[in-house]
Amino acid sequence: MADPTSARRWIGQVIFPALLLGVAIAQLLPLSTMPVRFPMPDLMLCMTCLWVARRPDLVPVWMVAVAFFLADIFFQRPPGLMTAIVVLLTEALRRRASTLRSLSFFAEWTTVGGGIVALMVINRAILALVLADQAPLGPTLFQTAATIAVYPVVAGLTFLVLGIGRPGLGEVDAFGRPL
Amino acid sequence: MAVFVVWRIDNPRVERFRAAVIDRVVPSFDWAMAPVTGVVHLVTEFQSYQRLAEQNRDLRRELQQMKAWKEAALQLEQENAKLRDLNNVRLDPQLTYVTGVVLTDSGSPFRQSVLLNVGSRDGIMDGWPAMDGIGLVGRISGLGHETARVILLTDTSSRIPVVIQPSGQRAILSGDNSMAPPLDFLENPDIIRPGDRVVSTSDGDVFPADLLIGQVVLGADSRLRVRLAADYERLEFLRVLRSQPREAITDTGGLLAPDTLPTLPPGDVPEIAGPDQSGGGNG
Repeated sequence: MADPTSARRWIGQVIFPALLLGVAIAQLLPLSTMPVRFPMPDLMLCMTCLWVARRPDLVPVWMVAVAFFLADIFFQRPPGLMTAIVVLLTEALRRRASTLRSLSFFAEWTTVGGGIVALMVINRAILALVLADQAPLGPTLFQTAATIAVYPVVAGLTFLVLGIGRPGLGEVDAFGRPL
Repeated sequence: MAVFVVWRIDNPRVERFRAAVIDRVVPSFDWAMAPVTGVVHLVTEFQSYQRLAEQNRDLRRELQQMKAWKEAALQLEQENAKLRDLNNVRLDPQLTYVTGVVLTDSGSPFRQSVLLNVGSRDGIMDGWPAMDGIGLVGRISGLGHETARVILLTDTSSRIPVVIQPSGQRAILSGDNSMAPPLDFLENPDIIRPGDRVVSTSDGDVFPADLLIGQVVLGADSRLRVRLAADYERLEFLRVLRSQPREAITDTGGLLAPDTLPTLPPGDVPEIAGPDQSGGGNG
């Protein structure tokens, strides 16, 4: 803990699950039990993509898996399917993280956006393949678009409030390896 | 992914697991969620305080009208009780209820359900109907030890049999994720008017009969829909009705005969029918 880098890393690893938990609880609050016409963006997915694309060292893969598996259970989704696809998506983003860092923000945004679209398509395709019941198409499309649209906002807020942005070129982790 | 495959193959077991996990986790978050919900409700209600004086005046006027109605209702109730007494009517005493508090909603914009803080511990069973004070809200689907999930009538997988008063037509109310679920399988839509009452039936032994559901309205897509009587804006307390399965009449009635035949004198015809052959008689 004496080392500021490792302290920041530890805080980062605690903050991320705490944020996801907060978002999940906020969604579960029984504030309105009316059907909505325009669903909210999927903030959990958006935040996870953002953190994996920017600071993959703070978001280990098991954390993503546990968080989304619990989310599947709580939100009445088919358990495990969304988890598997999100883990695949984040691993793909994680491999590209070092490349994304040197590109413009717009490139990062389109990559993540494409990933989210692919996730929704794969999700629906698998559900159709096993003849499970699907969420209606219109709201799903709207939610996907909203999730992508809200990405820059989440990115800005994360940077301003938590100071977690894209690591600079020379930044190193606690063991001196480049991020 | 493996869990997903298992879910697809053995759905009830995984859904029981889901109910168990929710049962374990959600009540422990109640301390965090209850205050936040309260504060948000407070804020929304604060906006209505601004129109307080106006509302007060309206309410007074309404109260006066209600007093007149109450008087009429009391007289009718007394008359009704007298008539019932004359007729020797016995109301079903088993239709009592358990009241639960809404813990969470489904958390997803595609599913319409709420979680109650009563469960199998309180004797709740799967399939029982849940009402708010006025109308039907949904039915229990998914049961934990101390939580129970109510699938609302607006959910896309909700289908319940209804009857439309006064024409007496039967239909299926099928949720479609909108505020006013449509009526399906109507035999003759022409004799149904917007404003007709929709109540539940006991068809298929799903629900007790005659629970108020709502009123028929003509939707924007010119389908007949139901405006639900229950206040979906604010589901806080739900009452779960204990609906016992009705006694079923399975056979056509037995032959009325004494349990034991009088002992026959010895040497009489031995092939006489015993009392155990009474099934399927012409009674």
